[in-house]
Amino acid sequence: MVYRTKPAPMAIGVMVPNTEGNLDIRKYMMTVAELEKKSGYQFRLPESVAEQKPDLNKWPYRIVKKELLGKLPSIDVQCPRVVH
Amino acid sequence: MKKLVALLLGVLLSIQAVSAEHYLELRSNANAYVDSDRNSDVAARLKYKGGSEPQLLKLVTLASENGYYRVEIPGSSSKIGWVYKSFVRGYDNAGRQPASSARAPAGSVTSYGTCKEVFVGGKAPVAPDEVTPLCEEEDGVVFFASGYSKRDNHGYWSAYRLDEEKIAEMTENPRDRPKMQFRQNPKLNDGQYVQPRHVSYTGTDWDRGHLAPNGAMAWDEDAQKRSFSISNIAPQKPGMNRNIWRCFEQSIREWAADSGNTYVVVGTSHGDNFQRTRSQWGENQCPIALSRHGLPHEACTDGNRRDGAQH
Repeated sequence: MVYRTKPAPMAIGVMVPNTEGNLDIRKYMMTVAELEKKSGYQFRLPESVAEQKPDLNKWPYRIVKKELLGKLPSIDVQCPRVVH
Repeated sequence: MKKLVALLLGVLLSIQAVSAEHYLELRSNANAYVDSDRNSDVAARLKYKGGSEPQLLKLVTLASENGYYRVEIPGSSSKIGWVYKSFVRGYDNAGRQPASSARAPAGSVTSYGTCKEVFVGGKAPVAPDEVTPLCEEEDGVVFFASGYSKRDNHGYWSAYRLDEEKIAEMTENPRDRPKMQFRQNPKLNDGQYVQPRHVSYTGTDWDRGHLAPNGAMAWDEDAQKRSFSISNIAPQKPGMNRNIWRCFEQSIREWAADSGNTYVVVGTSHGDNFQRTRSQWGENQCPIALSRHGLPHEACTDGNRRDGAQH
């Protein structure tokens, strides 16, 4: 769960399977309310924030190009930012 | 005569109050601003030198303002600046104050104490299972909080707060990852519970996955080191930890750059069917539970292997 205070309070829930082969973080992004339901956690945020559907323009993300192990390249090579 | 004694005592007390000097110890590179606001002009750039000699900043006023302390700029008694709280520690004239981890009696942690500042509205997340609350701080400077599962033998969740000051420090003065192994957490020592060790993960095909990441603690050397606590990790699949998770952690830091305060909770969730690690568990070691989501999840309560554990 990530909560930001500026420019206005907003939050996002992310739940990634602990398995290999997951490249696109968008598949795992959700509202905090959904995350609470799936995970059993309670993050105790204001309801209006917890139920806010994340606007991906406000949560710029990176997608993994190819899963790598060993010596890892720079972040921008491994998972460049996705620009809308 | 009584009046004279009282007067003398009053004079002595007032002299002591005026002459008492208070210092902070600089523990990171830090900008000293003209005002208590990071958007104001920089009065001086203070460089942290490390080493055993403390770098002291003389406090001008005891109270902080917006999280900033008003100090004299070293080398110039007339120049004043404001330094952010996360980059300094309290200092008394008797010497450096001991780290809180050393002060805290083993096994005595019952609440999150000053770590409430890493939670939205001061409210700690509630996990689906029982956790031991841990506050990782030093001299009032909070690094992160954790909920540790003695059942599952790993950090259940950790929470931290990033702000624009910390992000600026990490961007302007990037720190290398410390070359160190994960350490057992002294706060979990209660005479009964046996913590996993760094080697507990060796040969398991699982990474020691940070919950509060080293990269988000790189605004302070001690915070980074504290993140290498066994209570702040859970087993992660390497392909997950080093790829999608690493990239996601980077995204969080990027979000935090212009977001005021950013609060993060990183947790584990394993559902009903979870595995246990297969490793060379030593005497009095319990296997670590692996979770299916978020980050992986394992536990020991009495130093004996739990029933059903795989080895």
